[in-house]
Amino acid sequence: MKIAVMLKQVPLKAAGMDMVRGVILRGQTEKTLNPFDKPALEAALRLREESCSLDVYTMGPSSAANVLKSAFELGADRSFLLCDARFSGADTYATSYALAQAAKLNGGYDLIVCGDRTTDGSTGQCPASLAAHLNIPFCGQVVSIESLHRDSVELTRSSGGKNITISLRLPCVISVAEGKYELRLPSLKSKLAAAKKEYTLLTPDMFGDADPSHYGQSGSFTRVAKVYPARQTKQSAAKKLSPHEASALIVGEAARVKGGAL
Amino acid sequence: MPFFAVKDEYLDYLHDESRKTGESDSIAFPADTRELKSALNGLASFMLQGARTGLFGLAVPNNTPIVNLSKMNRVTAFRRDEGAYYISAQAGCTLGCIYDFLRNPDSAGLLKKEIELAGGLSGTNLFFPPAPSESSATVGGIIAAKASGILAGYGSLSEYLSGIKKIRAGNTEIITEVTLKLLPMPEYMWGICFFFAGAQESLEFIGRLSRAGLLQEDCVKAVEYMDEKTLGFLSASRENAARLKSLPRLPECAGAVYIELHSADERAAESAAERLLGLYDGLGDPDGTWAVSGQSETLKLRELRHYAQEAVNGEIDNIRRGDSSVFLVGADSAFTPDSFLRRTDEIKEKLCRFEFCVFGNLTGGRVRINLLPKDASEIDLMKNALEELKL
Repeated sequence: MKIAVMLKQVPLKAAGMDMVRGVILRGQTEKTLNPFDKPALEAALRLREESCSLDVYTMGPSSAANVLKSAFELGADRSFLLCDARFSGADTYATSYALAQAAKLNGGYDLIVCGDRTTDGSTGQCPASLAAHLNIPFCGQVVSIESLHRDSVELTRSSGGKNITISLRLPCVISVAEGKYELRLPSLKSKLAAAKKEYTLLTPDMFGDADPSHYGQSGSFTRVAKVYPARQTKQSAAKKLSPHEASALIVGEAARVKGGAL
Repeated sequence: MPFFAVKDEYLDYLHDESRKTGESDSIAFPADTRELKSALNGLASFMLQGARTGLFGLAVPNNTPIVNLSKMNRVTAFRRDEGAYYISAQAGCTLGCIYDFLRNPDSAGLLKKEIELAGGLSGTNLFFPPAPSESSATVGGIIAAKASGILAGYGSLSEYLSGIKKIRAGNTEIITEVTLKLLPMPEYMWGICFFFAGAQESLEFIGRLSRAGLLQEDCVKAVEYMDEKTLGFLSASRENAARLKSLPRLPECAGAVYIELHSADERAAESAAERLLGLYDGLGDPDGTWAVSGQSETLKLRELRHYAQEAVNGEIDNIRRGDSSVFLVGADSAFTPDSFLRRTDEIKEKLCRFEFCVFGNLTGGRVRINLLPKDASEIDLMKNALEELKL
């Protein structure tokens, strides 16, 4: 059984914006693995323990290789970095198209696991878009992978405050929500072993579709016209309260929201 | 300099992190040396306070006016001199304020003059090596208490204390401003946590580190031991501790050793990590260790050890809900790894009738023993036991 996880490197803290191009200035801030990808990676690592192979992919500048290194440290078998100037400025459509091409290059996967969204773009579109490019089913908001079979996967997904258990035909793409899967830390043994592993660099020329106009900004259908802080629509005066008054207020407010006593 | 009656929002100033509570009628908050002198004028006795983060009750007033220095909290100078960096701050400035100055100089809390000073920070990534874990501690309090954190491999607090300004009130010398030496963050940082199924194995590991000479390695900056009880408190407090929630749940184990490696050379850090793994052989599951690298990930893992004292304090608070006269009994004792190993059985024997936990720094020699009384009747018995142990 072949499993892939799509990862993204994001700025650790709020980064600056190129207001003209509408893109994040990624080079000027410390970076980390997208926190929403952590449950996806953990879910895939648990499946790997059941005799699956695990590949990880990321697209970004050369520094994005650090998230691949992290995945190696946790036990990924192979990793792939999509890094080329022609990928630059991609929207979610072009990003997921490039990832789909990369997955095809390696013969496809039974299960592709993604994070729910990213902390920088926060659109949550890539997983579904990736499934569409690969013409395979997609299921989002997965809170638990119950069991993996030869041709299907049983999942629990969250929907409207309720959990629904479904069976999905393989191959498919899923996005995993936060909750059950807390990403493990690497062991010292696996961290040291990972230092000897190397990622594979992927560029558009290597893909089945090598047309550069299908990648990066030229392959994108959207442009960010303007980025600005959300306007505050409500202003509340700060209250200065004693500890007793503050705790009474909190308890009262919590009871009001819950519709009863705490 | 006005004194306020100690009531309402000032009642907190009657106790410190030891959970002992004292008495006082009045409190003043001078913002500079002139106001401090004015506050002290005519006082025969007083209780000087910083952030009240001490564990020994030294900031608890005993029917004397309180002079609290928390408003003397500004950075006053920052300079670079022959490759080293120095920061001067008023005594009541917290480590947190200094970190804000160093890491977020555009943060709203800084005064215009401080933002100008912070202009010299461009491209630096500095830290204060002896900093204790508690970022709300004041620099004056740290110096007065000779407190220091887990990075004992960088040397003692005095090596990083470049200047000190004091005034005298009666027989008391009061620190008003300190100048601290800062270092650039090392390029390569590793945080590694080793877990052990038995206490004996964890102590054997420390012994092996000592015998192999690893404690003297330049890149080994912290070696921290945590016993089973400490780990239990950490596990129990995880749900309510945001700082611990970014870490996985602790495995079931009877002891842990946290080690931090710092180096300018990637290979040196890696090589030390390989040696550590070799020394761990046969003492635990190498797949069950935790290892991270990089500044942000290492600082996250360091929280495990940093939070130990807070987890213990949380337990004391739980006990105090039933008996408010209870407070933490403890001792900070100097141990080498060998002397710690030699005295472990004796400590266990003397303290086994009490609930106690042990954690601490085995490169700088300071190990913290916390005793948690079930009720007030145990406090004196615990103190006696510690005295008998000469801790």
